[in-house]
Amino acid sequence: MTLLDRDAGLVQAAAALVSGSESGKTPVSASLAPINAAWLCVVASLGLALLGVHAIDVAQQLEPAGRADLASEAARQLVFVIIGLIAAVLVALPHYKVAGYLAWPALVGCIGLLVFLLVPAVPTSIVAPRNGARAWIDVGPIDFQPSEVTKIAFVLVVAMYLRFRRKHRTLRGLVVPGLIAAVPVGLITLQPDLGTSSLFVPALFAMLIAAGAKLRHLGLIVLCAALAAPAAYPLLKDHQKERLVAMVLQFQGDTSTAGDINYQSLTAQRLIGAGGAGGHEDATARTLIHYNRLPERHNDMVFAVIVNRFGFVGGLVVLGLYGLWIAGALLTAGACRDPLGRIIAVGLCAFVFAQAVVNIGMNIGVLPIIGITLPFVSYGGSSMVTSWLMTGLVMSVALHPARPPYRPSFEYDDDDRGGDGAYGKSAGFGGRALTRVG
Amino acid sequence: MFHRRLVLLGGLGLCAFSLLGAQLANLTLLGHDEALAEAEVRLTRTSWLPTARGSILDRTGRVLAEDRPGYEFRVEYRVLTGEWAQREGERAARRLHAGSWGDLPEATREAMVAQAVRRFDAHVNAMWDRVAATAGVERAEIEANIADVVERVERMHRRVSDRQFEKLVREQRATGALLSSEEAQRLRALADRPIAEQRRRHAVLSGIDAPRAFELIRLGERSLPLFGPQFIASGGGLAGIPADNPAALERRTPLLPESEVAASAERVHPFQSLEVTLDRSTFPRPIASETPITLTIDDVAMSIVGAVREGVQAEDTQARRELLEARGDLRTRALTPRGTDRGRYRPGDRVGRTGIEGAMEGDLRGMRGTRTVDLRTGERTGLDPSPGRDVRLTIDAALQARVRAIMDPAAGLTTVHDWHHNETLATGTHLYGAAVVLDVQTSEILAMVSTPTVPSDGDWSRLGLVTGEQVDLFTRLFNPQINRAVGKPYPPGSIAKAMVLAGATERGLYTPGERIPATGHLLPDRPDLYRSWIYKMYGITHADQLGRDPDGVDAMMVSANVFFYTLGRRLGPEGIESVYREFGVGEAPGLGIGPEWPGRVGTIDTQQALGSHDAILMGIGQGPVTWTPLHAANAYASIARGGVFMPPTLVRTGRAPEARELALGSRTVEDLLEGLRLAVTDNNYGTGVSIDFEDGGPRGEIFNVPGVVVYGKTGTATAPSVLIDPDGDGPAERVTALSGDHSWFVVLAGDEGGAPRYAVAVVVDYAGSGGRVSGPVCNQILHALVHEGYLRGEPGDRIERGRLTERQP
Repeated sequence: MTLLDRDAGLVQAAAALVSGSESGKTPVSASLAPINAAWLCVVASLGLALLGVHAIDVAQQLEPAGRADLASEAARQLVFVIIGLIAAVLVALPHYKVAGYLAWPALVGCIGLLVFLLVPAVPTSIVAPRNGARAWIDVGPIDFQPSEVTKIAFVLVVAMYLRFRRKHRTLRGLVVPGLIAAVPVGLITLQPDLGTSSLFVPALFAMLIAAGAKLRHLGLIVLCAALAAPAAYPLLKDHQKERLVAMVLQFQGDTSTAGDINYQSLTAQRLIGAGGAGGHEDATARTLIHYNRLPERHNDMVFAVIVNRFGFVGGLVVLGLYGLWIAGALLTAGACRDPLGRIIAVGLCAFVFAQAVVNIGMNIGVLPIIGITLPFVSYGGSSMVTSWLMTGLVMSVALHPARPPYRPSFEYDDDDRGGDGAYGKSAGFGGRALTRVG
Repeated sequence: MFHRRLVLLGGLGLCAFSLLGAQLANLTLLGHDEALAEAEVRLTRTSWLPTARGSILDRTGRVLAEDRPGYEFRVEYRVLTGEWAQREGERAARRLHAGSWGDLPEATREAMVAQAVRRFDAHVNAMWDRVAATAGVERAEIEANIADVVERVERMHRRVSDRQFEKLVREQRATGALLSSEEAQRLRALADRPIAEQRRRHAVLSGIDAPRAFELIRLGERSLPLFGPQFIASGGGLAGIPADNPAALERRTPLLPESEVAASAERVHPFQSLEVTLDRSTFPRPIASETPITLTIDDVAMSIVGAVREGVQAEDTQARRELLEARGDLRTRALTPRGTDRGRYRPGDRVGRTGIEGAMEGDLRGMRGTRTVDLRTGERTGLDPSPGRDVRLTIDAALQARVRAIMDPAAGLTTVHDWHHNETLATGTHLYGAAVVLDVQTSEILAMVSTPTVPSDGDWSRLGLVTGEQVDLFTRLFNPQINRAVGKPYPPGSIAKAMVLAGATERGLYTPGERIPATGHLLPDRPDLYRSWIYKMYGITHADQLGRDPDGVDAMMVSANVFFYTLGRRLGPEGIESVYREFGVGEAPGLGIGPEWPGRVGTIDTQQALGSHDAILMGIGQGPVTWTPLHAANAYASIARGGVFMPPTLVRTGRAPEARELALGSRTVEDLLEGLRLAVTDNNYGTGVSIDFEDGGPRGEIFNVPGVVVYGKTGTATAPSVLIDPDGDGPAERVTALSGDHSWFVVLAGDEGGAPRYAVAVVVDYAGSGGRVSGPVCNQILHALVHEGYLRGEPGDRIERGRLTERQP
């Protein structure tokens, strides 16, 4: 049954698209849930984005913005915020199921782009390596980073895969989700962009946990990975090994590398420490940041700029805003009765969380420097738009509550009992339960 | 279940955020002060200001070595190798025919490139001519410097790339993979990457004065079109094809491409070469002349001043660290508020290598200044550079030059003459040796000469040596690199008799006034052993000669061997060893200017104890004992000081040297000085009074300095022969090249009626008689002391325009 072959016409079809309702008679306003937890995400996103614009201005410009216009990067970032906001609205209004239906084609498209990036014959005018990674496609005035969008496509595909299944409660059932993750992870690692690729694993785990996968299975996998990690060390590229070594040296209190491999990390920590409890005046912070020559200060290291400007308090505000976003997403998942919406909200939440933790961790010197951005805050269009799309999707999940009657999703008695639980034996085909009751 | 899982995920998130928050608090709250201080340091930029190395002055303040500010002309390495001309030529050819380049046949393009490269080569060639003309030097000098730079850099590159290649191969092997030849080629290419030296500018000319440097700078600002009107007139294209890009024809190339004129100090030695005029009227009669002789003395005090080298080695940095640890005063001055050593070595710095330059490196080395600019306010603060401290030597450069001239075989005093009675060397042979002049009061070294020396410019032809073999043989025979005054072991011979007498008296083994029978030979039944020189030569004894058995004064005057054999036997091996040690044998003076011979009592085989035979021989300064002219002069100075031993010094520090009392009674000193005075003045018996020139004339007096009282002792010391292998093909055919006796003379001299003020020790290798050869040298050194104002209170020489000028009346 397609949406457009109804007699009711285009308006109703559009209304149905927005509401997700099967019945064109129900008004759109009635089927939406405008008061919902996803607004927390919107508030947090806006707060982070505006903080980011200011931080980028501080990072890029020695003169305070009062005396001059915003730094060009900050101004562009503001445009990215607006574009992101529009994109968020555009994905929030249609029912997220539409996105779910588009998930597989989107992922295939993304993988195509990822493969395209790796083709050596592609001229550098289209794929110009940055910092040694072939991660960007230059399309006219816009540089586009396919791995960013791949994150969303990945969440949707996993959500679509898991929504009616229970196979993932067996060890063997984890293979397919693992394979779904392996393809983008592998391609992004080859760019090489180990930072972005490493985010897929926590996201997948979070979705599996939410979907009721058995913790002991996941624990076993983590254990095996931990044991196998040393064997993977020789496979790392030289600069990656160097960063691990640098990290170890830092933990040992060796500051002799401050001039070379640990320069970025130690400079960031120095600026963060210099921020103190309450930060510095605008002009002072700009001077400190400018003359300490922090690399990537408008980008990956923007957190250091914020803490230098606003101090410990500023850092807590950033952590709080992420907390707010995550709380919003988790509450949305909790309120949602539809398995697809639940997993989408959890998956997106995991991406934002993991990215924030890794980025802040490398800023404060507890994780090695890997190039990943701070969502909503770091400079960059792809990152900004992707982050807002995530907010939009969460909002979409919140706006479109499932209609009764509900069937329980991922509600197992207890994973430790190993039984089939309250869900009962599937009556569907191949583990697929019947959809659409009513 | 699902909601429990959400709580679990939320909890995990909270944990992670708490950890981040904790580390954030740690950095911002606990580490704030330190981090802020470190971050604020970066709000300032500190740069170094150049400094100068201290000067080395002689005792009168004449500059022996100093930094002279000057300029260097530096050129990019690529220009020196021709690589620049090649690249520019290729580009120019392509530019001139930009419209048709792709359509031209390969051969035509190559011809075009070759032609353009030739044009650039000619331009570089013209640059050297321009620079040579502007700087006022020969073109050949620039070319030699370029060749040096290229050779040095290439050698360095080879060394670096070989090491790199080995490392890469090792790493490759470590992976277990086999090394294919393509892989090896790839690694070789990787290792051959240019080094930093190949990418920087190198000085091809230094020591350029300011006016010429500015002229060069102005020249460097000019440029010309290499493919200008002349080129167009001659067809206007390469390989006969007219250029199709008029813009390229107008392109200008600097007259001095890829070059700069930079400030740099140069170490100069104003008195390196001096003209010295010697009055020969007081020379021994056969070589005396009313016409003075003028000699050019090169490297006057260079063996003392030493040299600096450019380029820092690891041990320099280590030595600097140790120096700062040892000397708190230096450390206080050297460290910046942030604890950086302002005097630390940086690549390209000059480092003292030899002589005083090396020994006093810590003082001579200057400390850079710092300029700290506050980047916010532009405010400048900092420390001014402090130039290195000047080092003032005890040497008098004019006296040193005079002594050098006196010791120069060209003056005639150190050339074998018939009347020398040299049994081993032919008449006319050049003689080499050493001389030391000490100030008795302070033990400061006024002059210290050793001949021959290694020419500092490497030009051996001044010594009459042309071929490499000649230089090699000369070096093996005479060891010019050794400073004989402090570095070569000499048997003391009879000059040590004064020390033996002093030591025996001090130990109560000889009572002043005691007469010891002069028997001709020590052992009654062995007339072939321990003989007196007079018995050996004439078959008589000193008792026959004097009409009495000699006492200490007589024994010094006539150099009575049996007397001193007896004292040696009385002292015994241990006693005589302690006498020599008291007078400094076994102690290196520690001047720091190069290898020193500390002096030795005993055989090389230290296991073998000294016997009474050794003690007897050492009584006359033979046997297992060696010292240097500096030891000899200082031992005599110690007697003149009334028995106070002081280590000799070469640098005036203003600190009193550590003196050591020898406990000589005043009677002993008086007797010794009397014996030494008679030895050079008693016409009947003194051994160092006159020379028979066998020319029918009267005997000539050795010392003829009016108004100066001389105390002295001759010495003719049996010396080990020098054996060499003339054809250098093995030890079997070694022949004796030098043999015979070393000629010694040590004197103390003072103004008439006054105490002795200067000690002079002279040794001439294999010259035979002390009186005949070293005596006249000593005499001329006393004349030089008068000339330079040290005796008789005359004003000293001035040095003007590289020449010792006569003093003003």
